[in-house]
Amino acid sequence: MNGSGRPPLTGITVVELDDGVAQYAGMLLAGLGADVIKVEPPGGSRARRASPFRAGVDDGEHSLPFRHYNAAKRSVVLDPGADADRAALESLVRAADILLDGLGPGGAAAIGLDDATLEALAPGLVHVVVTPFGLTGPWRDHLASDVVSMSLGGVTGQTGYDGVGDEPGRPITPVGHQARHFGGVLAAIYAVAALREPRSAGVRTLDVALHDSIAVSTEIPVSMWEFGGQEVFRHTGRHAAAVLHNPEWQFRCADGGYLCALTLYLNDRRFAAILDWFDTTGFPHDLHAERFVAEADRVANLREIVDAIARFCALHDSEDLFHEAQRRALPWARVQPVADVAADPQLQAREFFTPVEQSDGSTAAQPGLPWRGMPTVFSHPTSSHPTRRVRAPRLGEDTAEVLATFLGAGPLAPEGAARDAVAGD
Amino acid sequence: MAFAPLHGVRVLDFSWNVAGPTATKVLAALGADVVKIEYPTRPDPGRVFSFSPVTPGVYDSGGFFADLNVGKRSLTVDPRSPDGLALVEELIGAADVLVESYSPRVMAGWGLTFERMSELNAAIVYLSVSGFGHSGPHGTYVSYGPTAQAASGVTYASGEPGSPPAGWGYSFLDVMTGYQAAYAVTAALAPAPGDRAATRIDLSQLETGAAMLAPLLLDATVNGTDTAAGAFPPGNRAHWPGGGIDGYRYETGAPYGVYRTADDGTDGFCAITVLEDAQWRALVGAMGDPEWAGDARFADHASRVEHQEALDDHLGRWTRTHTKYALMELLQAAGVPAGAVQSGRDRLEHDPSLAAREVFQRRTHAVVGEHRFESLPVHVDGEPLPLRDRWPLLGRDTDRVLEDWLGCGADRCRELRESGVTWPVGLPAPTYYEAV
Repeated sequence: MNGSGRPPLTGITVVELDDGVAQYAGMLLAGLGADVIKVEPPGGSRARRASPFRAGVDDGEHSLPFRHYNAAKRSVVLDPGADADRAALESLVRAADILLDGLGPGGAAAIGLDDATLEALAPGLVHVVVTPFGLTGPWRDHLASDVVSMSLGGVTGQTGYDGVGDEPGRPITPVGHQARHFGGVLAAIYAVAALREPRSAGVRTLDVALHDSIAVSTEIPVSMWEFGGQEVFRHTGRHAAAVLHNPEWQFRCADGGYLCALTLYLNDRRFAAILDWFDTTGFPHDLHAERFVAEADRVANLREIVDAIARFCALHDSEDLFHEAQRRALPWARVQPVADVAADPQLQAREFFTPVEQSDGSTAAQPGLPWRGMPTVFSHPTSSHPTRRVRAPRLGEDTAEVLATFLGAGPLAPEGAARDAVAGD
Repeated sequence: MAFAPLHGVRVLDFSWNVAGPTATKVLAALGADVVKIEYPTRPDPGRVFSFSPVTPGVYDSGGFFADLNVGKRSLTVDPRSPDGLALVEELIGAADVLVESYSPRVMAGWGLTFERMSELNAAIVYLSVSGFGHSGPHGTYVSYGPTAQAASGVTYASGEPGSPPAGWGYSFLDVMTGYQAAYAVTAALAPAPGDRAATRIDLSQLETGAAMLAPLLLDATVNGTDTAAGAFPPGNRAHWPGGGIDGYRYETGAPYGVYRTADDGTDGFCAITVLEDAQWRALVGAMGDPEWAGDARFADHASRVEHQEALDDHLGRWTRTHTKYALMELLQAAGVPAGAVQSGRDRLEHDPSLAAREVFQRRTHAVVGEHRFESLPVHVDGEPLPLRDRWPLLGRDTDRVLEDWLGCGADRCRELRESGVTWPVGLPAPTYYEAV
């Protein structure tokens, strides 16, 4: 659908320095065709040791999170402690449009890339720094983890289980290290937007904090407090709300699975669809009564409607309920287990997964970017991307080629790790 | 120099509720001219959303809506009338981006297919945000945020083993899909205009949710892992002991969890996570070297993960004797990653980092009044990005946008208004417009 068939960031060069916090931003950039050069220390980025691994092999090349978050990047090994490698790093930065920096406050300066050096090397550079708490503020040097970031940011407090009596329910932090997604996607937006500015503007430093990013991304509690002076309570499988007890919208089905049967927005058309469905199947219920005719009355008597839906769900399998509800234009869905999402026919039909050969020769169904239409390196793997390679790189796999491109073919000083990697390749 | 890299980009925004408006809030904050398209008889349902009080009958009284739509302008036109549709087509010709979040058949029903938009504007970026996407066997499925969260696995991937899915306590995928959409649009605009063909971005919440779980999906397809066969999801832990299912936090250790504190209320909890042996020693020191911490079961990383129940029992008794912020500061000072479970109130009234970094910024809205609004959080060359304090008061900017984008003179603007194209005949304009 794009005339050129090329991902839109083709031709953009990104240098990425990261142990995990910024790699998602780099994946988004690489996914749209940017040449993302991941510069790793001789032992490799710590992100290479993140579990789970393919077949349980923890050797730096089998991490499944690494394979996803570093898809379509190139890997260059440089030892910033060695003079020749530091010079090589400077050459890469000189050629970069974007420096994606996940090394933490002061991390880039510690390997010789302080602000003054960057200004001298690459005056038009976009320097995107992703950290847990930002480069300023009282928590700048605090330590973070997924659950710490999500707790401070607000997601954990508004997510979890219903309370019992006056006792608050357990807070829960969803899995998948989502904290990094909030900061990562915003960092990618800022970086790509900043490319539109004139290069003569000098180095742009874009300081992105995971904490700030999560704190404005929780939809309900900030507005509830700021505009209504109310706090919210957690509820099992549904939105946090200002009331301690309210009707559920997630129901257990005959197969042991669950259905998300939204009872919000129960307008006349949707309610009629539910009644018709119940009646067609001979399901006994009282929902034809006068007290359910008007939408406002339905809201007031929602408990009874919810009880009927719960009884109905208990009689049927979740998968059947999902598709029949949607056939009746009800915005309901099965709570799909992970294994079923991996085989979901809609995701398959929209080619969300691309078969990609991995560095160990195996092929994996690699998840791509969440749209159809505009080309990505997943949908157009043979476009003009420098490596024509979609998988994540082996450690140092591209050192020789990248340095030859950006430094010229001259020999490197003997003590550099880069030279070792070239020699060992 | 002010940071407004999308200055000059025109966005025609038909989107409703949360996902699309999240995307266009981002674009507006970066300098784009975002014009929200509605008609007074069919306004954005978000104007009367329940996440903040709303005055009945007043379009612009919702704080939640004001927060989500800051930085945009409002133009009213009825695309269901022939003259209204003709005006919309003119606006498409003058726009760079069109955003919508209707059900898949709505815009096509008006004749506004991607092909038609491309005829009107050879460089248009057409973004649709929907639950399941506009193609495929479920391309007609209808969805709100929680629907897509259920279908995509993100609801399932939250909770404790043996309990129902806990899901997310809000429409996470509305927010995250909005961000993915803003990224896709920003990137689509990256090539120079001459190098750009019309671009279609058919973005779905289903795929966004699946992308948020990508390593879990790889574990399922590459290793054949079925999370239903073991202890999953792991609550707040990095690994649930036994069962052999990964915790998918891409970091591990124990203790790792959220612990009850001495604070009253629903958010009296503190997250404490030990990822390295040194952090364990720091935690033990901060607790004052209690005897239980010397138990051989807690001597190394693997053993602590295996014996988390006992470990959490001990730790939880200690955390109940401290408030969450005192715990956080004590442990952070010792070198242990820790953080209070914060409510909305905590973030607004207590959090010193959000305050110092000016994440919530005070502005005055003509109807809602003076409040703190959520900024687009980034510091540019050391300064927080300021909120653009303008809001899409329904229909307030119609004439000005028609002038800016189409060069419409006052006569044509009046004619469009009086014939019901840009405002319903006989409906008085809100008086509060005058206050702006």
